[in-house]
Amino acid sequence: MNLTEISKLIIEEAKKQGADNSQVSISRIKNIGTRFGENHITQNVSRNTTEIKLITQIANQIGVFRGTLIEDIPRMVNSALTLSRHSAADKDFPGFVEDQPTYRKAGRNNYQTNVDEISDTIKYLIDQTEVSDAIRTVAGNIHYIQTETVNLNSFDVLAKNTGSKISAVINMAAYSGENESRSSARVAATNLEDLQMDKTAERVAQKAVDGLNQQDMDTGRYETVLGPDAVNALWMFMIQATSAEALITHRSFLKDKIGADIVDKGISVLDATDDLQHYANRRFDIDLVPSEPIKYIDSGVLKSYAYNRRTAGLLGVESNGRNSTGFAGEIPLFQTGVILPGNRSEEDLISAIDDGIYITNLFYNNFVNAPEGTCTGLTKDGLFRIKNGEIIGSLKNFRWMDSILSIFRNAEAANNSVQTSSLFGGGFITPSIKVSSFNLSSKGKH
Amino acid sequence: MEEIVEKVFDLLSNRFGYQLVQLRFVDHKEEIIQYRNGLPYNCGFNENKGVGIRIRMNDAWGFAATDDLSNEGILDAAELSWRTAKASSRVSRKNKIKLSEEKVYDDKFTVKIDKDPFDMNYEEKASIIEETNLATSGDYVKMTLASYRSRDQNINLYTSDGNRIEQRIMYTGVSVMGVAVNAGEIQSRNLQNFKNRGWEAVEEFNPLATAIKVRKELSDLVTIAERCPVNLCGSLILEPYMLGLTIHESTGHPTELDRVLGYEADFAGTSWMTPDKIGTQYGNELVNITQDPSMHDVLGSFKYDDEGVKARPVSIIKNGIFTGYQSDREHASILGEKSSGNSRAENFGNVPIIRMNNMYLETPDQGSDGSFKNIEELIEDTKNGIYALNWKSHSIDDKRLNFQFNTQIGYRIIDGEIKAMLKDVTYQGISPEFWGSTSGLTRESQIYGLPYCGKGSPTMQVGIVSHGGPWTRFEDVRMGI
Repeated sequence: MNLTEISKLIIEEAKKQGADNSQVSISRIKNIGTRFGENHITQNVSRNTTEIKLITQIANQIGVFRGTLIEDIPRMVNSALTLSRHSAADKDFPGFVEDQPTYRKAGRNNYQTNVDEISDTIKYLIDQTEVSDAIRTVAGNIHYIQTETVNLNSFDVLAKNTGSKISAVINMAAYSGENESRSSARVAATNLEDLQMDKTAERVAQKAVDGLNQQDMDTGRYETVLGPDAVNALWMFMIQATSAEALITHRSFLKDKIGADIVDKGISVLDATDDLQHYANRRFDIDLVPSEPIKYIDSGVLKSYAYNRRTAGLLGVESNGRNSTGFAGEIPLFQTGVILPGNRSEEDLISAIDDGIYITNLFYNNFVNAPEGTCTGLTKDGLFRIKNGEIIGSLKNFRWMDSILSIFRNAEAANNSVQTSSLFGGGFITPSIKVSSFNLSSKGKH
Repeated sequence: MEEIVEKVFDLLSNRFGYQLVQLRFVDHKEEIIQYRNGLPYNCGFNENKGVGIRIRMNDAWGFAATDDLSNEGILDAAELSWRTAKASSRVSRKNKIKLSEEKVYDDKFTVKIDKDPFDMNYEEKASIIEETNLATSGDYVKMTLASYRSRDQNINLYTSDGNRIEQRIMYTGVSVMGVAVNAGEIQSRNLQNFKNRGWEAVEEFNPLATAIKVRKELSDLVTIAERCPVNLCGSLILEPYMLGLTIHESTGHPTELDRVLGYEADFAGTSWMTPDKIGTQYGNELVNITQDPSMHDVLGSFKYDDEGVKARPVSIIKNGIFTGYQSDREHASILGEKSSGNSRAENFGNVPIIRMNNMYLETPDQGSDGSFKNIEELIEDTKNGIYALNWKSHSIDDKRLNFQFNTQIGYRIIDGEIKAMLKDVTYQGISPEFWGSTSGLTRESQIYGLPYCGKGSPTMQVGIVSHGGPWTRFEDVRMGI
């Protein structure tokens, strides 16, 4: 029985057991996660599961079942309906999509791979890396997910998708005597070849060696070039703040900012759901609302928040199809980010700085004050000093603390876009960005 | 179950390179009831079951999981796990490592459950959460969320070296959260506790009283609280919950042996607490930090870990000296030690990895240096400082040295008295310097459970942990960042 047939059985069973309306999502998921450290594979995980989410509605009373028990449909339906019958009315429940939307025809790529191919790629990577006195250890991971999903509701709205995505991290440690320098990079794509592991590894190895013999420097504000991984890390705060959920919970520093200049006019950002090469491309969200591309920051001006049906209903607007499954429930997010590249190369941006820094990665970044947009975190895996337009050496790590909007208020994007995976299951294509002021607030110890 | 387990053992046992197989069957159910601003929000019931099969061959690991529990499905998963282990073995460690030798057990264990939440009437549970949520709102509180969660896992572990262990691990708890808004000022408060118990954990937490406290404190935070003094250097007193976060980040993670040895470098980072630091000073003599998953009721407790190693107390810091790591059979063996019993997996689909469980700061003896009866006595003894409660945000570097934490609420202490409520309290430190400045511990203590520790990229897992200890004072701390 295929997933569409199973979905129909579930919807019929829900009606038979008394649901006014219902919606089911079934996903067959193949998941391979291979992790390596100290030049060998340390974890190799293959997981094949079928996951179901069923929402049942009786009047405004909602029940939700999640699980894997596909063989016992009546019991699964009963679990959801028991919650519907005994729950209080949820007057904010937006209901299900009732008319079949027209989704874009092309979905994600459906690339197939297996644990042997992934492990062999890692073997090649480790073998090719010149593990020497300089690069002593290679670490990282490759993560492949292939899903076949069918969504169906009692209004016969059907949304199907089959797709795959793959991401990787490479981390290398170089040594000079007792001095250690680590460098890392994240990459994401829709197939293994496009990850360009060789090229990424070369870049990481060179940065690790360049990062040796870190010097001290004073804390303070510096003109800064942020590498793609660092931009990705900082942009997570913008993604959280553009979620309509953050507006409702009073956690957004972008509340009431639609139409306002929030960042440099040279910065434009797309949520490119239709880009088939994007790691997180999609045609519809988990509400079954079409996910059309949106330029949510246009020349520095905030144009849109990310809505799902619930938050759109509460805020009196239409959903733009951005609902996703978050850690603490559903949350609308711009997950298919693309910061449009600029005209100059990263080298050009560095050469334009007289006295500044180059940050490759940021680590454990978190809000200090979410409604104000003040954040903190640390530099990691490569921090470099720029003097008179050139990188002259590496630096010990610092804690940073700054207003996220002030960081990007005076900014210029380079033309070197890289695709990375990001938190919340999304992906991000971003160039390096030069900012006029970045606050290093305290010194690290390494 | 026994029959298919034997079939898996038979399938693999004569293969070249075979060393060990561990089958872990998990029957998982979970219930979430939440109310936001008076309405049900993201409630749900989750039920799944499956098996994770971990194989060691040629000194390399493979793991495969399936929710197809037919004999055919399990045998297919075993074949996939074998293939995965074989693939790993082509990129295996140069210096072969044998797993630490451990006793095997045939045993059953269940956490103590007085009132099984899954047997209770749904409306009874929902009405308490709704009432809690409603009680949080009012005054300046504009957004409220009350959340109850219970998870019940029956875990059957079979290993080819002889373990036959059945454990029922249930945890239950509740959180009460609110956001207050007044004249552009926004403050949040979130109090919670989870235990390896049944519904009685919710009753013990007293959610309704907690809601009233949250509402009152939030209103005070946006009306009368003063901003934390900038660049204050003085005494910092942490209550057990905030102390728990500090232990988690600055002691817990850097003493996970997989991380220390470089196997978390791709995500979580490495650690400054390398093996050459064993036996050296971590804090001062007041600091005794222990992990003990055998402690009853606390979140993260169990009788056996997911390799069958029996839970026991392990000293991490003794009188300020760094004494030991959290480990599993593979990583302990690298140091020539026994496993500390920290191998845990979130569900059937997750591979066991080194996880924190219950790690806490020990209370002092009466009459010993730095020993105080309770928080009141500790405040009376404090000249210039801040009493900080409940974490709001946290950040620490990849070696776990430089940290900066925010708390939800604080109190200014001058000459032994509380002078003002504070908002936006931040403090920063370097782990060994911070623990080296410990100056006072109460003989009263508390342990809190938190079911939210992420680790194990790329197939991320959420761990359940407990932390706490006495109300604890530190000196010369940089606050008001």
